[in-house]
Amino acid sequence: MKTMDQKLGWILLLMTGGFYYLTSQLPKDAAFYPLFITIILAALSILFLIKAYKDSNVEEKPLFKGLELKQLAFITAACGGYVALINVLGYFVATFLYFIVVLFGLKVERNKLIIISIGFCGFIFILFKLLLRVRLPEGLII
Amino acid sequence: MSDILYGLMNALNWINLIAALFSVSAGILVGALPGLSAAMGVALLIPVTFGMPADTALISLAGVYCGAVYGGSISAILLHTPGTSSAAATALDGYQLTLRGKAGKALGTATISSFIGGILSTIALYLLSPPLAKLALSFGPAEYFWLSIFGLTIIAGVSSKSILKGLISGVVGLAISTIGMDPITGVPRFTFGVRYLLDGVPFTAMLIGLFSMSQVLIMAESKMKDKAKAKDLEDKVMLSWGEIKRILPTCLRSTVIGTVTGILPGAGGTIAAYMGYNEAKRFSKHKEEFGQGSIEGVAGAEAANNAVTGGSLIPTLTLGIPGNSVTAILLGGLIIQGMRSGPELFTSHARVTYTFFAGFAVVNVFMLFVGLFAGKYFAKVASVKDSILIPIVFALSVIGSFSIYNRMFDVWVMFIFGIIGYFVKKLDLNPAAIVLALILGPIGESGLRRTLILSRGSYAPFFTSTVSWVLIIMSIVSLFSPILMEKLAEGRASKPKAETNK
Repeated sequence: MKTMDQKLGWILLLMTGGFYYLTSQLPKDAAFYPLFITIILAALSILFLIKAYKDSNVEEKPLFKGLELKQLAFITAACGGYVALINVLGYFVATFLYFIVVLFGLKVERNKLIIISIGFCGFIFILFKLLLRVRLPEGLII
Repeated sequence: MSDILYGLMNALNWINLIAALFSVSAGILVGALPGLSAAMGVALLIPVTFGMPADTALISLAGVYCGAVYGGSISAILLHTPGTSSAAATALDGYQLTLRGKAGKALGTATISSFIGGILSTIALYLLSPPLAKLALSFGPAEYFWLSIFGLTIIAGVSSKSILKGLISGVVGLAISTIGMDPITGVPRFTFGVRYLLDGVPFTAMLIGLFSMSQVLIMAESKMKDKAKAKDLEDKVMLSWGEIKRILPTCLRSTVIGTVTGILPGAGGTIAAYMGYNEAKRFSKHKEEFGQGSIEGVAGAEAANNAVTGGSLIPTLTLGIPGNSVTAILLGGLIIQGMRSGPELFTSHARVTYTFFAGFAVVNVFMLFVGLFAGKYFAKVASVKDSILIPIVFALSVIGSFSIYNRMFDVWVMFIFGIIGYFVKKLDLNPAAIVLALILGPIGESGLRRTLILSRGSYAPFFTSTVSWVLIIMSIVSLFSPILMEKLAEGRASKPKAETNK
C-alpha cells in the first residue's frame, strides 16, 4: 500500500506534468519563467518521491485520525451553498440562513442559535454598513 | 528627524488612538481564541481598513498583529490551550502558575514582558529599517532575483518540518504567482479566459482562504467538545517591583532573541518563544522552578514572541521580504494603500511610515493597559465553542474576500483556496511558504528577465556584484543549515548515551 507521502509525490508529479503542458502552449518569452519553475518543481517532486519510497518502512502518523467526515462534508457543503446563495438572497438573508443551518447541524441549543444568528447579522450591519460603510454582497432579493 | 516627529504627533491623533485601542482589543480576542491566528486576524481586517487613511489602516493592522501575539498567552496561561502557536512555550510555566493559584501573576508577567519585547523591538524597527532600506537602493534586477531566492530558501528551510516539503510549498507558490499577465510582454498566462485573473490570483482572498477558511475546516473535522472554562483569578495581576527586577534581564535577553529571529524570514514567533524560554532557564538562578511555574519562564517566552513583531517588519518594509505569514499579509495591506516596501517608504512615504512606527509603539502601550486591566475577561471569551466560531469565521471571511474589489469571484477564490489550504495543512506542507512565494515570485521573475534582457541573454551579471554573492552564499547556508542543525542535535543526543554506556 502506498504511504501518504508517496501519493503526494505522484500528485505533485502529475501537477508538474499539467503545468508543463499549459506552459508549452504559451509564447516562448512568456513561457520562460514558468518553464524555469516547472524544472525545479519536477526535480523536487522526483526527490520527494524517492525519499517517500525510501522511507516507506517508517511508521506514518495517521493524517485523518478522529476525522468526523460527515460533519466536515456538511460544513464544506454549507459554506459552498452559502456562497452560492449570497447572489440570490443577499448577504444578510443568506448569512442568517447559513448560521441557522450550521448551528442547528452542530447541535447548538435552539435559543442560543437564534440569538447568535440575529446578533451576528446585527453586529455586521452596524459595523460594516453603518460605521465603516463597506459594501456587502447584494442579491436579487435584497 | 522632522518626519519622525511628525509621525509621533500624528500617531497620537485621536482617530489613530481609537484605531489602536480597538485593533489591539480585537487582536487580543483573536489571539485568545484557540484556533484563530494572528495571520487570520490581520487577513480579515485588511478589507475593514480599505476605506481608512493609510496611517490609520497600518496602525490598525499592527494593533491586531501585536494584540493577537500577546492574546495567545491568555488562554495558554488560564486554559492550558495556547491561543496561537507562539504561545505554546508560555503554557509550560504559565499554566503551572495557574494550578498553584498564581494565574494573576502569570498574566501580569506575560503582559509586562510582552510590552517590553514589543516596545524594544519598535526601537529596533526605528534604528535598523532606514539603513537597510538605503542598502536596497544599491540593488539591481540581478540582486533582486537573488534576494527572492534567498527569501524562499530561508522560509522553506526554517519553518517546515521537512525541508523538501517546505521547498515544494514555495515552488507551488511561485507557480501560482505566474497566473495573470506576463510582466514583460503582457501575454495572459494560465487565465483560461477569466478576465479577473489578468492581474493574478486575488492575493487577499487567497490569503483569507489559506489561513481562515482552512481553519474552519480544521475545526469542522473534529468532534465538537466543550472547552475548559477559565476560573476567577485568586491573586493580583500587577507584579511587585522585586518581581519586575527579577524578570527584567530575561525580558531584555528574549527581546534580542525575538528581534533577531523576527528579522530572519520564516523563523517566527514559535521558534523565538522556545529559544527565549530555554535561554531564560539557562541563565536563571532558580532553574528548579522551570516546568513547575516560573515567572522567568513566562517572561522568556512572551518577551521573545512579542519582539518578533517589530523584528519581522524590518525585512518586510525595507526589502519586501516578509518575516512571517502575518507580515506577508501586512505587505498586502501596504500594497492596497498604494505603498511599496523599499527606500520609497522612507522618502516619499516617510510621514506615513514613521506614523506607523510610532503607532506600533502606541499599540504596545495599549496592549499593556488592556492586558493588565482586562486580560482575564478575554479568557472567558476563549472558551467559546468551535461550533459557534465556525460560522462566524466563515461569514467574516466572505466579507473580507468580497470587499476589496466588490466581486463574488474573489469569494469563490477564497473558498477554493480554503479547501486547498486544508489539505496543505494536513499534508504538512507550508502555507506560509506559499504566501511568501506569491510575493517573491514576481520580484524574482522581473529580476531574472530584466537582467537577461539588459545583458542580451548572458547569465554573467548574476554573478558579478558582491551583494549577489553574499545573497547566493546566504541562500546556500540557509538551505543546508536545517540539515546541519539536525546532525548537530543528533550528535549532542548520542554523546550522553555513549558516555552512559561507558
